[in-house]
Amino acid sequence: MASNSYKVPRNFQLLRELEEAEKGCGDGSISWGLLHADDMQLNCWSCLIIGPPGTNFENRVYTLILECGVNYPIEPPSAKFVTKIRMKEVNDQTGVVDLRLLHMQSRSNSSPYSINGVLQEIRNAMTSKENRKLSQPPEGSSF
Amino acid sequence: MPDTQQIALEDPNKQKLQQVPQEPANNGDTKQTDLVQTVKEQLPEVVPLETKSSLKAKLSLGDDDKKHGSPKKVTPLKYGEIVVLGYNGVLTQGDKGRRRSKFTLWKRQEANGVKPSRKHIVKNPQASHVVQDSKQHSVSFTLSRNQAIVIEYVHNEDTDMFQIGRSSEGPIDFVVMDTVPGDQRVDNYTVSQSTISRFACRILVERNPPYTARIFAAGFDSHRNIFLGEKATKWHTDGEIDGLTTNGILIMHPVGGFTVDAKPGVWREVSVGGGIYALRESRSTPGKSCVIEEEDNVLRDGTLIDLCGATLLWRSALGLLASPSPKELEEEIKKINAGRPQCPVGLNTLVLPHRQSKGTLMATEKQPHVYLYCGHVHGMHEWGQKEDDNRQCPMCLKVGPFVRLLPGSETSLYVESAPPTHCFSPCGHMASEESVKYWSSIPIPHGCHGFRAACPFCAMPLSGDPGYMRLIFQDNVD
Amino acid sequence: MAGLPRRIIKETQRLMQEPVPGIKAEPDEGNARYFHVVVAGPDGSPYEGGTFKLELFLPEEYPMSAPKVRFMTKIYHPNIDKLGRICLDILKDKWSPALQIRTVLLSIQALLSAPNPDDPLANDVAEQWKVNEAEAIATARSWTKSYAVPNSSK
Repeated sequence: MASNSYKVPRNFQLLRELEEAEKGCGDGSISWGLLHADDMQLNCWSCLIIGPPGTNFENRVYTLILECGVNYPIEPPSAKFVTKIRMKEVNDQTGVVDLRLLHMQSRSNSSPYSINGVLQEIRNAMTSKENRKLSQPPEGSSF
Repeated sequence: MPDTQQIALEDPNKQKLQQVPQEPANNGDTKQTDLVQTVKEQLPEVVPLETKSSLKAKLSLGDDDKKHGSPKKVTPLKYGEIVVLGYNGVLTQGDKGRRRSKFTLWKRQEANGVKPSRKHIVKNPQASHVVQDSKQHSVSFTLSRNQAIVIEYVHNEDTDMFQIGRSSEGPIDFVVMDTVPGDQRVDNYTVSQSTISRFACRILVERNPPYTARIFAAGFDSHRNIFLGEKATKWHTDGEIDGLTTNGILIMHPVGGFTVDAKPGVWREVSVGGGIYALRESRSTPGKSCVIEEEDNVLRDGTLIDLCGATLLWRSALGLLASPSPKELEEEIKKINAGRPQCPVGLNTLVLPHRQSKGTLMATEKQPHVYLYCGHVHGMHEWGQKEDDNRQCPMCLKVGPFVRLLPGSETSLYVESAPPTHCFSPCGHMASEESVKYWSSIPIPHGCHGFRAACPFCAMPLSGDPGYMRLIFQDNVD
Repeated sequence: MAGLPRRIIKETQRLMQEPVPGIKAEPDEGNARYFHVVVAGPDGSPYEGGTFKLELFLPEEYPMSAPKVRFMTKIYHPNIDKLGRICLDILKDKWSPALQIRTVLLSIQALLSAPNPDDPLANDVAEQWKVNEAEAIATARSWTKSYAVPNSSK
């Protein structure tokens, strides 16, 4: 029965992720927060990724929006870059990230998604063979 | 036997009542029948009103017993019981033969008491005819290398003698070893050096009403001798000779009997001749203290006997009427369990174990535990653990020890027949309110110098003030 | 994880059999540790007449740690923030496993009757409560009407 396995409901997972973000975690190369501070639905998240060293993204700050649907965290959030970027997994016109193209290595099939995890995956993709030396649009431009 | 005939003539039903297991086991059934007889014969003593009515109740219960078996042997008259404090009804390794947690003094088929008769002055007691005669009881006091006094003891058909000591030799009726406080769970704890004498003391009970029991220091050995050597404390004044044993036999009569209203009496030392003396400076200090003329060595219900290493409680057959029978205690515990007490955290039903379940005391979630500083009863859980082993009570947030509740099963240690609503601290042994109050007020020798109140079920010195706690059960709300 | 702990089953049963007046709590169909809660605004409070939706979740360590509770209906209260998070000691350091879902919800109901602006979570609301209580209460009342009364404007 579904109720027998332990799972954290969407809102409580998101509240925890918000707390994590408020505390700050990791090396600061990724961060996130609610787009609107009074969004009781906890839908839209404003996120930052600092480009990884040794790539063409290095030292650039990328803003993107994650949207968590009602089936989050079983289903992944949708992700869309605000800052202009060229990546194999990102639509050149809209900035939408095709999450299916990401490897999502760090997560097994059953474990739920997290904002942190998705951002980490996107940042990892920046270091891939296909992406790392892609020429990038000028800094500061937006989709 | 004259006793039985007498009773049978009085009331034919009584004969049937006597049809109980011949083994004088510690069960309620036996008890009811001894009571019949004991009370009958002790009529001269004043029986309080309350006791009379509870006696009636007990007698009427006898109906059940009539159904069992055919008459085998008449249960002999019971003088009383000696309970070793700290064993809660059963020795860790089980009660066997003369080594038990409780001894019943039954009237003997034939009197075996002795009384002093002649006094001999000899050079060497070992060479004296009286001492060499292994059928002759004697007590020898060696005064110097060349002089000893031997008191010859002769058969006394009016008394029964019971001897207590560490020795497992024949003359010892009740073998008592050193008590290890809180023993129950420590299996391979051995007492390195026993302080209990091999032939520690003897009790002489008059075979006729009111069955007065008296205690004396020292017991007769296999050759029926007691020796007080050159170094032992002894005195020879005005033609009287007496002495004390090395570690001494101490007794204490609670003032007011074995009841909650009792005040602790003063601990005294009893001599080989049965005299009462003030305590020595320390347990084995040479030299006697002053004699206490106004006190005697007669055992009263509730008298404590300390052997230096184990403390014994004397319960008279009449006094035992006030204590619950094992059956009654079990009923009281069943009543508590019938209320389906609940763990306020696990919300599961707790069950008080109602019999000593040797070693297998439930480690299940049904086992009740108590927060000793507030009395809240819970199941086992991990919340509120502090570094020092203390725990915070989820009900009142008080921090204190959290221990398993254990049944106080030895009913002879109860001063009243009432539900076990309280427990001792720090051991968690449960007993009735009056019982815990009584024992928390009674000092018991501890080591060679001090006295402390202790849990009578496990001999652990009580901790905190007052050393017990009222239990608060959360009854099932479902 | 093994099946649902007996304690949670028992609490749920009792919540269903003997509901607390003014409080409804039902487990989610797909997650027995997740409860949909409706609390009626207490009489005499600015929340009177409103029905407030909350969600409650029993974490893995429950009852050794507190349930997580949040308002889903917007509410103007000094101890409840914009996201519906509640500042209540028993949900944090004063938690005891002797408390239950029932007692937690009763405490939340009591918090609606007795706001505590000196221990605020929503600072601006608390400030308003202290500076001009009458106005704060009026705002709370109007929010109740807007967000917590069925068939109202929102």
